[in-house]
Amino acid sequence: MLEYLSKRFNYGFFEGEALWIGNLGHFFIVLSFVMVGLASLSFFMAEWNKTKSIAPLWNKIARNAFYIHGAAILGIFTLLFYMIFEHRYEYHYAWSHSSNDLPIYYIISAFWEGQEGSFLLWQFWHVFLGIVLIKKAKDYENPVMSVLSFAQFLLASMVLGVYIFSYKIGVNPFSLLRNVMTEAPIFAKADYLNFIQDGTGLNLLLQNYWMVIHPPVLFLGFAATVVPFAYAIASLWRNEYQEWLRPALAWSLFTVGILGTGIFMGGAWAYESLSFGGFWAWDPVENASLVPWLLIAAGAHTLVAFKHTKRGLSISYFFLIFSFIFILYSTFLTRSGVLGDTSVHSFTDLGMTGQLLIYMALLTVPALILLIFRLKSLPKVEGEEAFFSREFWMFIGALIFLMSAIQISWDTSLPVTNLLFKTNLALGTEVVAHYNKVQIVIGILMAIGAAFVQFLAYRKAVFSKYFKFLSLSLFLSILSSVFLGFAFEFPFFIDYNFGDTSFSFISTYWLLLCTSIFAVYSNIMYILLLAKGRIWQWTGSISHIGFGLFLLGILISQGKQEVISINKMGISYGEGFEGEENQTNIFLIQGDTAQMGDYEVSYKGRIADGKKELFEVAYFKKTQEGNYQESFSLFPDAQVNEGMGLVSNPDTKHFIHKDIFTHVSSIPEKPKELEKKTLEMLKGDTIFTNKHFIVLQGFSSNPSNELYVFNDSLLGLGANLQINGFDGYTKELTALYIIDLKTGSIEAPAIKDYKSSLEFEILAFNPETESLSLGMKDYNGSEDFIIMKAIVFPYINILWIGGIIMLLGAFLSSLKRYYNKS
Amino acid sequence: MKKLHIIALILIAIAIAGIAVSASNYTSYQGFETANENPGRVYKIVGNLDLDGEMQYAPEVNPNLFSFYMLDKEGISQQVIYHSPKPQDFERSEQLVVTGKSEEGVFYADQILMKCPSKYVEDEIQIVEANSSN
Repeated sequence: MLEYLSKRFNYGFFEGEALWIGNLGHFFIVLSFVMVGLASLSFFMAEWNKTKSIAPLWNKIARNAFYIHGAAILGIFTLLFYMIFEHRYEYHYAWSHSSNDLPIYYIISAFWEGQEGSFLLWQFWHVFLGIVLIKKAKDYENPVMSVLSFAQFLLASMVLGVYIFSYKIGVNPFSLLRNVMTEAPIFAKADYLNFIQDGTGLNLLLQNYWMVIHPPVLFLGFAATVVPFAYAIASLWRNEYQEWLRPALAWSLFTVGILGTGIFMGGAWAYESLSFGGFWAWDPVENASLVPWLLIAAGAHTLVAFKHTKRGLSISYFFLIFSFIFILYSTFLTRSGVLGDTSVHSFTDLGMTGQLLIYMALLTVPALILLIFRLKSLPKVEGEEAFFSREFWMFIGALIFLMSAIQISWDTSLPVTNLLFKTNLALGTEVVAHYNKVQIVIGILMAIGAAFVQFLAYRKAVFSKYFKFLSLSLFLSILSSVFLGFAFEFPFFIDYNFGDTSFSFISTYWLLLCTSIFAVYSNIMYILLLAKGRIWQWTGSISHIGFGLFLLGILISQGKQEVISINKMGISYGEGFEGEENQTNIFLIQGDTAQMGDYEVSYKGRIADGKKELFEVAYFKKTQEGNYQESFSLFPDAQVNEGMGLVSNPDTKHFIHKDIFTHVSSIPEKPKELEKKTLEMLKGDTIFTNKHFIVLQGFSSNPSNELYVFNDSLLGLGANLQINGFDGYTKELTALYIIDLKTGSIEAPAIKDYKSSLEFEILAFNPETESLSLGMKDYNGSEDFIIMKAIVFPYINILWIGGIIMLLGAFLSSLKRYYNKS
Repeated sequence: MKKLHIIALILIAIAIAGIAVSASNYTSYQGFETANENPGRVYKIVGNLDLDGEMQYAPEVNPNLFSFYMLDKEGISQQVIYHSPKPQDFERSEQLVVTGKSEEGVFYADQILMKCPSKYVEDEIQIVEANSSN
């Protein structure tokens, strides 16, 4: 045993390890941690002594410490990337997040698949933002950077991986595999590395190009929330409420834009490559990032109101501080393991729960104490807001944002409530409906606010002035929504149940339809009629138009989504299960065709694509003459993965007015290989399959076709085949036999008819007897099958366009506030 | 008191009321016994696949009907019917969490979460034979 231990810790014992990576990595990690601590302290001292002559010196130390910290973070980045790129599987991080076959862009994703890598990404953005602030924050540099560096100091400790009194602080990305899996017997061998040739790879669900671009943007959004927070703390600290406003407002709006972009991209990713069929599932991880966004969006609105009226400062601080606190809370939720089974986003629990809680407290408690302490000295305006003043309704709007955030946080935090109060509550089966019910009402209120508040004036009630614009907009909205309501068959009235009582009222769906259009029309009017040429006054309205379109897109694409893969065969499901909702998957044998909506859909077979297998699903539409023509094919992929079950990515056909989403829900364990039949045929011969008969009509020489140009040296022979289905389907096609006289080579490409699922290939041709040896594959006879689901999402493009316009508006607003345009 | 404060209080009261109302939709983790005593109510049940029970899935007849037996934490085995395709690798699951309701001794699951053996099993380092170059 002793000998074994001495071997284990003897660096010279193991062969082939690149220990320098880890050693250098550890050095950089400790350096980055110490330097950012020093930076935070020095920025603090510079602010503390700001009237004294020592202040510039402190600032100089602080800046340099922060630069060294940044360089160290870059060093860690480079080493970690190098380690993954070079497949150094002696390191646990490389071993558990990558494998030999990963292309370069997935090696980048492997970098941030794990917790340690994503914490580093977050720190990288803090460094980036910190350098921007050092260059741009001027007078506010010291207090703001002191707060940012302190947050970064805590974050840097997350990758420390050192023990203090047997409590482990952070998890080090440079841990050796043999030190993580100490029990594995393989590490008794000095040359163990020869036996570990490959890593366990990147999670298959994450092998997607979104995994390359989504995390950097989302983490920039996460990181950005610290800036408004730092400005809030800095101004409270200084007891200064004038100078901080411009940068704080610009940064808040930037955060709204960038965090919004990150969340939005996550939705697009989910829609494109997850199988649940939608862009938002109210998953705890999604919710945890939406709540800070709602809070910073509310804060940006109240700050604008404060800028114009000097009212609403305390509530603005509240939003700025809590937006950041909820970023920390979301980190706690998603990385402590407390969510357990409730989320599809599984971050493994690295045992940092206590550490995360302490950090939350270290940032939250002082911030709140400072706010409460300063409440009395915040500048106030005597008297009450006028009822029809713009600020009054902006504050109401902010409160509605807050209510949205409260409901989402409360229900997302059920696992935390369970831990605290020893309950065992959970959301039921209808999680999405549960959130939607509440958030639709909030959406309606927000849309109304977005529609009319800009028409009000600050500080005074001059509502009548723009009354006619608003009435016109409202009138047009009602007209449009009644029309759309009929077109999309939205219910105008629905029954609401409260316990035993039930009453009929205007449906929330229709109200949302009407109010989101109201928001769009009103803001277009604002731009065209009121703001006219003053482009910098458009920014808010641009966001609100986007918001209205976004809501409209959600409502139509999600509310009117239609599952077209309805199973019509099969047995009764028993009482209470007659509804179509439980028959949403169709079983398709290769070559089989099923009716789905306007389409006939056929499963054509598998196509290998690297490690993945694609399943070709062909959609046909009947023409007016009754013939079939192939409209398009989709290629969802699926594979059975050990330990993960079926991993499948859908494929979607995008039209301007709708999307057709197709997803494989189940495949057989191992399909049989289809055999090729060889048929000897003369002109006029007929062969029969189970579903078709095929006539060899004759031969043609040098037939015209799209691929080959025949001439004296390239001879082509065509066998004209007529396929006749017993269902009345007919199709003529020509199988080619090509002789290249120059090279003497013969080519006979296989030709496949998708509708009949038959494939032909000329194997040999005898010109003397005019007989043909024809190879045929009949995919109708295959035992391979898929179970698939197809959903039509109408007008989902409105949603994407709306989201992009909304975020663009946020970025433009940020620029406007930064450069003080009006 | 300012109008704004009154409205704020009203909104907060609505939020609390809303949460209280939505709390009636919460479910809880229970065993089959509780689910059977309260037919029609939604529960979450944690347990494992009962390997002695019959597992039925005939996708060619009905791809949306899957039936199996599950043992809950108290050791009670009951038939579970799931109106969706059978999850891949279902037999390999270590733990199941089903959400749904009981009707006449059968549990109708709307949702199944299965925990498969993790890919990071401590002593399961994939070992390949060293490349002997001859």
